[in-house]
Amino acid sequence: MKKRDSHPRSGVFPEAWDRGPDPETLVPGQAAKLAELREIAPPRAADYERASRGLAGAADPAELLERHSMILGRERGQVTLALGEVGKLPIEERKRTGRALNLIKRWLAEISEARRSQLEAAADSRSGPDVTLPGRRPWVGRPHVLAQIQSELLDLFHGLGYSVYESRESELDEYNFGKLNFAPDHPARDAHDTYFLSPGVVMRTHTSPGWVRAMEERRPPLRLVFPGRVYRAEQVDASHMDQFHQIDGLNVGPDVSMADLKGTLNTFARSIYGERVRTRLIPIYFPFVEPGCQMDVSCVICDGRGAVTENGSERRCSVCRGSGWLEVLGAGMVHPNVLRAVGYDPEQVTGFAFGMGLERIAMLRHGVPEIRLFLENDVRFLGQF
Amino acid sequence: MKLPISWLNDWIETDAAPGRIAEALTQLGFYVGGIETRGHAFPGVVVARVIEVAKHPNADQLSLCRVDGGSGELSVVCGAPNVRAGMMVPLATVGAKLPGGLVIRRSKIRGEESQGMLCSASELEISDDAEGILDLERWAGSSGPLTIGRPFDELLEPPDAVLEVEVPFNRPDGLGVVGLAREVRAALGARWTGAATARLAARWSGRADFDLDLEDREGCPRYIAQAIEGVRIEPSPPWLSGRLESMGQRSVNAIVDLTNLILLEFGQPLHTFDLARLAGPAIRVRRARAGESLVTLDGRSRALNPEMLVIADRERAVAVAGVMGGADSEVTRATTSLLLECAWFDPRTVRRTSRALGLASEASKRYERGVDPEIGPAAAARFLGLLREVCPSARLAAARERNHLDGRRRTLQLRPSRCARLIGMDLGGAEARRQLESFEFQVESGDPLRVSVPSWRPDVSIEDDLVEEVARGHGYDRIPESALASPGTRPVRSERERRIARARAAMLARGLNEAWTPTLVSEREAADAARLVGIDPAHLTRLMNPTSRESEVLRPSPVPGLLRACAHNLRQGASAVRLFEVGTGFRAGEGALPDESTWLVALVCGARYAHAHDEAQQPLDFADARGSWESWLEEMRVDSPEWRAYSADGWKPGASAEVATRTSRIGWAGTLHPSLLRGWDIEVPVHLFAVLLDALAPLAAPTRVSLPGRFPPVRRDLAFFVPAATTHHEVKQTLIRAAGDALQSIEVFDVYSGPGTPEGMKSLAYALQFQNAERTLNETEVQGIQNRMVMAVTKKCGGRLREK
Repeated sequence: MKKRDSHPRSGVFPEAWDRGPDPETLVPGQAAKLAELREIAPPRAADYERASRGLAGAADPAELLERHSMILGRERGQVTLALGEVGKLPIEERKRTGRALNLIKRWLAEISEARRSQLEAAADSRSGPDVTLPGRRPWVGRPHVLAQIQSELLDLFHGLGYSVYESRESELDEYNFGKLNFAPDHPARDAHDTYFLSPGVVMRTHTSPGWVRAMEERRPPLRLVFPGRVYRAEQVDASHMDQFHQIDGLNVGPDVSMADLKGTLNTFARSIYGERVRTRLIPIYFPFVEPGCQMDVSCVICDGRGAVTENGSERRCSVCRGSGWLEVLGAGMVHPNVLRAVGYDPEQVTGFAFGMGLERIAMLRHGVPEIRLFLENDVRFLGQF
Repeated sequence: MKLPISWLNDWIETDAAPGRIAEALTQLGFYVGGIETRGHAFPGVVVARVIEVAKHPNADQLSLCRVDGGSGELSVVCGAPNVRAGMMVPLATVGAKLPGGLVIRRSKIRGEESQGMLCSASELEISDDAEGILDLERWAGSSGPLTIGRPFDELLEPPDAVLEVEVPFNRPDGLGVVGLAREVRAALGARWTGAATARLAARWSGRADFDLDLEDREGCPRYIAQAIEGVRIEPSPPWLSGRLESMGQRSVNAIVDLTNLILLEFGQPLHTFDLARLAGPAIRVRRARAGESLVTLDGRSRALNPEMLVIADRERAVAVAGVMGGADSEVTRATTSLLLECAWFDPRTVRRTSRALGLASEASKRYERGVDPEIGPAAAARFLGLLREVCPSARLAAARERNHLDGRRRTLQLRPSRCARLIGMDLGGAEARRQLESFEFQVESGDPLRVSVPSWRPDVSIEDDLVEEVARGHGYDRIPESALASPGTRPVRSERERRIARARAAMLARGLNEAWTPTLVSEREAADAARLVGIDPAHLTRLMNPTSRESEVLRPSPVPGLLRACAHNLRQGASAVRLFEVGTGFRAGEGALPDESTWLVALVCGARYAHAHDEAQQPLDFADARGSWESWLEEMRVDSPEWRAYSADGWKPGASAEVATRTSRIGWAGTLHPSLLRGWDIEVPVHLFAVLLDALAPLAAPTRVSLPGRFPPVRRDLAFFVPAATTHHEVKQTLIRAAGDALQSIEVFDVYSGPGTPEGMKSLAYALQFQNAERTLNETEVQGIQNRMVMAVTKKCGGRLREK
């Protein structure tokens, strides 16, 4: 393409460049620039527009470089050449053309640079990692579901003023039974299928021997919880384990009553089973409390209705067996014989106690169908909690 | 204990629905676990007579009957072989609904119209007999006249609700219908029926000519013996067998059934001997003689000992008192005379005997909990009254009662203030009295109340027992709920609790799942775990009465359960197993109780990452495992733990260590030996870390801060050749001692022993950082320290600086 005169005119750059995109998205203000050029050097406006589209439409870095050289190259670039010619122009035209060409040079350089960054960014994103691939992931550990429930209960009772007392798992018969008011040869012992280590030494069948040890060590008032593993000599099946977990609570002081017990148990029930849960206390016999009671909560599955709706028809709730109630804990006022056995005076202090099983809570809360799962430690089970 | 409502209605007047009665019993502490309905209604089934039987024209097996069901003749097709003209049968008319749900319709059977159905006993679900049409004239279940057209319902007892009652251990009175009736009566304010009042007031009285001697008055203070002659052993009438069946018991014969009925009604066990088989005839209640034995009713020979109480005749034991009768004095079909026993045995004696023999019965269950000592005469009178009904030929003969019970009722005092204090609400003396009287306690007003305890309530022996009665009667649901105050106590988290919480959190943070594994393990499992930490398997603690071989020994640490879990998970296809447990370990102690200690055990094997799809994914090795345990120790603030070579059975040689602080050994770590792992069915390398949490120093003391240096640190690398046997630990300690305070950190960054290393040597390279707290270190100082360090390694470790 030969210069016919000192003014590069339309047609200096290939017509095909006109199909390039409006550079407005690369560098804003294109319309204003064109207007300004038409004002000061109208013949240059068309060349500018084509060149700017040519730069914006360069398909890859090589093409961009080629076009950039053709337009702005230090020796052979059309704008550079045109600027070299400016001195030959008449004085008043020299000024306007010089200004227009300098603007064109700056504006096109900006567009060229913007297109270059854009093309580089696109190239980077093609050569970078596939972000949809998974990363190098370390293992994640989860606390055991029973540990979570135990922590939740200990936190709850901590808030109610209870400290933890950890007591032994192997225990003297005297602490597991005798001092808890199980008379020798009493049938109540039959409810506790007991593992013996030697005559007079047992695996504790409940966490209650901790009361005796704590009360023998300390003076009232006291508020303690006793978490831990207990043992019953039972055949293991889906709903029975010979090793399971309980938490007992004990509150002994000058005027502790069943009304206090009820307040505590209802707080527990609402915290663990939800604010809407209904509770009831019914009498039950344990040798170590008098009066004794059992707390039931409204069934968490059927909401106490005793029936569930399944595919539009009513069926008896299998969890509460239609009764609408679930037994969740045993409780009562500490038996005066137990207080006497630890050297407390039942006329000076009274107390309440309660006990519950962790597995029961976990099974209800998470729908765990088999008690054996808790000690099996299948990682596919553990990882869910 | 089952409670049929029909039987309850025999004793108290109430029209409360079974559900209401169940609720009342539950509220009183007799938990009703379920209500079942026994028997059926038979709408549309009537008594009918077969007029004529003809062969069905189109079917050999069928007959065509003309039947009179009371409203005109009907034509009925019947397939039973026993149908005959004149037979009285149950006819299901068109529209009738049978218990199985079948609704009878008019139909054509092989072209002949059938306007109903003749029923078998099984179709009516009154027995399993499906052999033929029920012959009403032969049917023993029938009661009342067989009038044609009479609803079949009227021949049977109406459907009955039966409550399933859980009787508390301390309430033997609840093991009888009468005892439960008392509770229902109190709850609903119902009255005894007239018959009930008469039965409760009736007293046995007999002649005094039977030879009866109570040699052990403590074991048996009361005994009524009544001889009965002219007995014929026959099946029970339907009302009697039906009643037992509703309690889940099989009918035997009228005499045996009657004793069972009294047991279930009054809670008083009765026993009948064949009088002709008693030598004398006489009864001696005594301790068994050494070497004596008895074949009990269940056919087994029982060796007796002098701890056991027996019923004997003049020569030999004929029953284990309160537990079970002997086979050779049993009532049989040939029996014509009986001796009835109605006794009170000491609960403990019966319990010990029952346990020693491993033999329990409905009788022993009641005696060991405490039968009402005053109910005997009423129960015996009731038996004899019913005997006249079921066996009219029976005549009373010789009899005697011996009674050494003092017959006085226990009296207790109840302070209304005690009641208010325990319950948390003041009910007042009058309400307390009202509630106690509803349970038939006799109460003298005043403060305290003087309360006489009914004979059937052995569970009430102290004042607080009366408080429970008052609370129970008033209703536990009506006790108020008080706000929670805690005067004089405040919750404390112990140092130990916090330490354990930190130990668990720090393991979780290292990507290990928390496991809870069994304490009870097998002998082999426990022995493997014991040897790893230097415990002699002889010092393990074993159960005397294990329920299985898999769980007969107390674990010495949580290791066995974790290895079990590891094997389980690998079998299930896990790519890695990473578990830890905080739990108790047991070993024999000095005294009777085993020593218990709290362990943290961590186990890892398998892939290094939960996910990696490049070369970074490798099976983790000992260094990976050890690194995470070191950082765990750091998080536990264990002060400069030392890892020392350690070997014991079960560890892979050269890949195990013990970990100690300055004051004590706190744990063991290493890779397990493949041969140990094979015993657990594990084929991959497993790394284990076992720490005694109680041996860790307390976390209690707050940290005193040391300020981080602010002047520029100087970094240097030093590499040494040292003899191959020299450990990193030795070199590091030597460098630290030689460097003095200015050395801020030292890390080994390269261990090498390939080509280029002199024979018998290895290369250890350390990155060092020096810093002074007060000023910038100059080059000369650093060089001086470095020279001392090189010198020390040369002298003390036999090494030399590795030139670049």
